[in-house]
Amino acid sequence: MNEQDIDVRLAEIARADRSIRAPERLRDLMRALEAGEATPRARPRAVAMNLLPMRGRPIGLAWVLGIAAVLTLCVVSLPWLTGPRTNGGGPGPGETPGAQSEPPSPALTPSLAQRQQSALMNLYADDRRFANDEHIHEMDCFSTTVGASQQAEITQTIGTSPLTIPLPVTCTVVSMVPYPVPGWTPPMYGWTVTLSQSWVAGPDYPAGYATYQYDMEPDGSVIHQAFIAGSGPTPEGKSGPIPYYPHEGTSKYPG
Amino acid sequence: MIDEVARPETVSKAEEREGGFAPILGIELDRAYRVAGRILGNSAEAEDAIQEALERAWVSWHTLRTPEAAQGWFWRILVNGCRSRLRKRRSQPIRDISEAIDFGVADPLVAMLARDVVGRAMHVLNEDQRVAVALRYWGELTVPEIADRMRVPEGTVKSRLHSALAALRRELERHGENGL
Repeated sequence: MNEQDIDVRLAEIARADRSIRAPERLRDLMRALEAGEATPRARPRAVAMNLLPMRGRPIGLAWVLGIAAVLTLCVVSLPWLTGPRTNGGGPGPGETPGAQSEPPSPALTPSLAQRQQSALMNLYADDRRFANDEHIHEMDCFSTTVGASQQAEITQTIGTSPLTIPLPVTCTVVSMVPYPVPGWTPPMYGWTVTLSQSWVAGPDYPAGYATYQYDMEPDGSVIHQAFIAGSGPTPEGKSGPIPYYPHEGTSKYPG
Repeated sequence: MIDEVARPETVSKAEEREGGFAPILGIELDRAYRVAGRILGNSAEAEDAIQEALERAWVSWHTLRTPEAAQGWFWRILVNGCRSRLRKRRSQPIRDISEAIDFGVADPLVAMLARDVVGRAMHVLNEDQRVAVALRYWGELTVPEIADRMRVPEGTVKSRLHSALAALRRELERHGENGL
């Protein structure tokens, strides 16, 4: 049997497998989640994200950086202030931020700080490896230091289409919070990284920002990513909580 | 300045997305379950992986900007979850992947695979090959789509698929098609 035969055989097995259906319990779970009758299993989450969303409010660069500095101070220097976390990104629909009682994130010991740095570098390295037409080096503008901001001109935003004209932005690594990965003894820590991009108003577009959160494995592999907060122009030419970048393809602010 | 005019529309779009969770992802559920089963080697873990992916997706569902992105996004969550389980399995050596494929008849996913000689040879695939093969054949995804779900370049996907087929051929040659 050569490789072509194996290719055909695999396709046949997969076709035969189509009769296998997901257990009804999973469909019930989907419906229950949507109806608010089920709650995702909790895992630690940082208080940082509970503070960030300011949906629908105008926001300037100074405000973003100010908040970033405060959050970084809270997260890095005062880990015992961190509160409950749940799966993934910011609070889900119907979820009350800070309402759950979870173990706090561990203090950032020198050893953990070293792993944090390594995980952050791996996150960027993975991003550079992941190069296709739509997602090219979207994290290049971010610093390798947690809490630091850098000015840059970007043509590629996070997870969206390329910009038609370079956009001056400030890229901030807002926080990087360790969380214990369940089931490990001794404990292993994954990471929740928050990255933010902000821009000041231009001649034909309003100021805005977009904040993203990444849940990562201990080694920096991304488990889950989400847009969690923002403000800026919408495709309709208004200002809204889910921003489009000024020179994004679908934006009414083509630059 | 807060744009009051924009608000109702934004809210209604968000509600629409939230309301679409089960319909949008429900379409993918059976296929996702089979892919997870082929990656992880058994239906119990596949079910756990899907549950975890659904929960993760729901928590951040409201952050999705466009419903069109939902399915690709869900697949990425699922693939990452499966890879995480494989890594954990490897680093906590309870059992390796080949041992996870127990050709018992109680598990429908395992039973289907055990019927075919190529299916029985799949235990030789490493994690990356296994994920690529599962997405290609059971997920019925194109190479660019697999690259997106695995966050690797397209060339890497092609290389993994090619090496997977080569590994299966070698395994079949080693044991003879009836020996597996």
